[in-house]
Amino acid sequence: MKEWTKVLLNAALFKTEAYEWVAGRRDAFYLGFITLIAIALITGLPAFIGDLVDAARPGVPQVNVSATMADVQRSLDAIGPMVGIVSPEAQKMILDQVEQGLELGVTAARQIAALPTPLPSPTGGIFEALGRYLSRPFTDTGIPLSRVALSTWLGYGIWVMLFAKLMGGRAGLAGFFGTTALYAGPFILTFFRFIPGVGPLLAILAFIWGVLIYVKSTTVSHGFGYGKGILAVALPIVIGALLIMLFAGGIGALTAFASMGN
Amino acid sequence: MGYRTLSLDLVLRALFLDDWAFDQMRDDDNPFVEGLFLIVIIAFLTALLALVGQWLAWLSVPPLGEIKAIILDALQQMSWWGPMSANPQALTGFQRSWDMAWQVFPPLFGAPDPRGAAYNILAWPISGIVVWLVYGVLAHLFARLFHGAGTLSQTLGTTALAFTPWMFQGLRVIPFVTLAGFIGVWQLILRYKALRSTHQLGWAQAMWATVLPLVTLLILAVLLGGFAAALLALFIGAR
Repeated sequence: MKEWTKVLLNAALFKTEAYEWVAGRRDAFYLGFITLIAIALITGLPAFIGDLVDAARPGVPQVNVSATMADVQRSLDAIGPMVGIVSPEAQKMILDQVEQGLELGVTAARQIAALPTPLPSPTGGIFEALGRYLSRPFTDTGIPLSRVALSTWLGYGIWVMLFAKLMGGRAGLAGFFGTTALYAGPFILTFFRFIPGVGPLLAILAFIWGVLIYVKSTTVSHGFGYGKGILAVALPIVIGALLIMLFAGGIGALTAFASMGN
Repeated sequence: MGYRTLSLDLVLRALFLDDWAFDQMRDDDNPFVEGLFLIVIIAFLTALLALVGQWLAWLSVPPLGEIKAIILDALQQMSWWGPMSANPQALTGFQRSWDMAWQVFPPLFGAPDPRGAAYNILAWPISGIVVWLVYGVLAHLFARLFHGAGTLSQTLGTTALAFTPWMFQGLRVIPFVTLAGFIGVWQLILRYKALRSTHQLGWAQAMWATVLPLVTLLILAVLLGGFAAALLALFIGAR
């Protein structure tokens, strides 16, 4: 544990020997897996505690109907210019429906929360909070490397591995995935994302730091220079973006063609 | 009685990409039987654990029927309910859609379903074996096309090790735990390792032998879908 923490710290400081140490290990993939799970669970702790506190509170969260209605009114005002003028009568009808629905919804939610369950309350809430917390490393998704999750580590990783191999990379799968898991290290900073104002900055810092570690991991594990390392990491995103643009362009062209026909 | 290669150590080593595990399975005297046993045991045990999780979740939430009744009661107080219910045709249509929605949506949104989980005790081992055999045979054919050296029994034995990430489904013993698509990617990586170890292929050939069975199955699915759609169109057109 102490040794692994030291490796993570040295990797965060871009010391090549830390990357080489992981790449050369037979259990590199296991180490990478454990690193990802541990960091995802540690950084998810504040949210988990918040969820537990919410679960322990009796009843349902209070809903301020008048504040919500003011939000709806603002939204209607905002979309007015886009959808055309909404007549005052139509506006009133929409608002009345929304208000009635909201009030009935809150009442129904209270009734549901008061229903008896075979296991005593708040067992259900605690189970849900625990389930959500433990699911984090397995379900979290987003831009590659912006999350500490198995989907990004493995799903994005196989493409980087493929491009690295095509460029003459020499890493084995275990060594590559073991070293690239080091990108998760800086994400420990996101433990403090609950601090107002600082949270998003920490997430951006962790992301950039993580990407740099990922490039270094790819470079060291495959035994080539930084140019190829950057290319291997960037190519899956560039090609993915190009494919999306081509697809969207194709759909757009087809739509335009169809509307011309009409 | 053959020599038993399978052990917890071997399974865990295969899960974490240790070449040793694949080599051991390849060199077993009957890899096919070992693979079959592994798939059945993993699928059965994880389905059992998931059933416990679903049952615990079911005990911790109010009965779905009572939730449905409360929401219907709230809807009946909405201003549009009166005019709608005055029209018998509209009311029947609403009732039909309402009942169907309560059949379809709750499982999609993670509502506990112990009955479905119990059904998986049978469904997971059977589907696991079918997927393993179909993929294994196709992968073997492609590996042999690339001059692979392994036998079909060896291919099936080592590709059965690619089923080990399915063990994570056992985490569903904890209620409300969900798992996303990472299991499929992990399995793909293990299949690549299995084919490389069994057939002594280079990385590029092993990659193609791993991917081509999936491409073939995808093309088959599209063709079958198209054929089914054409048959349906023919049937509807004839009426």
